[in-house]
Amino acid sequence: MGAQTEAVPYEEIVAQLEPGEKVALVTCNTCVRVCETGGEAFMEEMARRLRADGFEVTDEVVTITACNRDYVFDAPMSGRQTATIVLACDVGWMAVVQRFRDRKCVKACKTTGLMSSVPKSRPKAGAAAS
Amino acid sequence: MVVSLLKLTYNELVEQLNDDDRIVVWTCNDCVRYCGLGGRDPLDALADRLEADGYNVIHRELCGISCNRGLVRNRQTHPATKPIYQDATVIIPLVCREGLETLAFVFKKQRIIDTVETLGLGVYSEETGMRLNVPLEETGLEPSIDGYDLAELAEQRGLHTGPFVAGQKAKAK
Repeated sequence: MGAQTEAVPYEEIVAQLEPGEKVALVTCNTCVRVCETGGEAFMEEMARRLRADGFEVTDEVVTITACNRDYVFDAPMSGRQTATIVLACDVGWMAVVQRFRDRKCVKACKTTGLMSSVPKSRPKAGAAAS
Repeated sequence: MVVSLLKLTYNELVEQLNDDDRIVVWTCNDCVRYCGLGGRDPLDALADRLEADGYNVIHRELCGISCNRGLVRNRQTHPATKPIYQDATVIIPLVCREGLETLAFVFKKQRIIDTVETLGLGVYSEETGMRLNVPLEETGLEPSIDGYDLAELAEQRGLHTGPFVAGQKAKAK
């Protein structure tokens, strides 16, 4: 546990996609679920909206903790996507980037800090998007 | 996961203990286990060493996640552990900064020894171990996809990789 996140607006996410692009969704199921910025239900809702907006959703993957890279690397995925939308904190997003270095990885969450007990400690800005 | 290193060596830790202290050694079982400084094995190794050195360890606590105030408070109020925490004079935490602050918030009558420095968020794998990828602002480090090595960070910053007592490296399962 530990990362505090805010959801990136849907419009900002799709602005980073090409029309009709093949998209995979990966969500963490720990901190972002507690923050209500990720988890299976959020991912399914995003997949529904993406399909309605003309995107092809190739995969919907739930990992226990995306900051454990082994879970991300071992997750069965079709490999058909050209972009991966990551519903996880910045380090979860980085783990996905490590798996798909040659493809677009889009953040669906913004990491704002560590959870509650350390309000003055914020992660460094600039963990570059997509 | 939250990335932390130890501020103290074992000898520096025991300098903060009194001979008549009634000690609880407390560990989180999540992030710090992946950092190699917490979890069951480091908990037992530290408690065993303290007992061997003559200190009075009255309880060993393994808490799933110590950044959850409800779980921590449950230990304070549960009939099985309430008398222990009423009796304890000091808690040695093997947790991250968030866990430490949660312990300090809940256990106001005990000394909470400040053992850890939290550096930010990191990615773990069996291959690389824990690495620091998204540092806190105060570290002055930039975010890094492939992350920073914890042993190098510890050396640069006068900190220590875990565990307190050598030979009991934590293993992530």
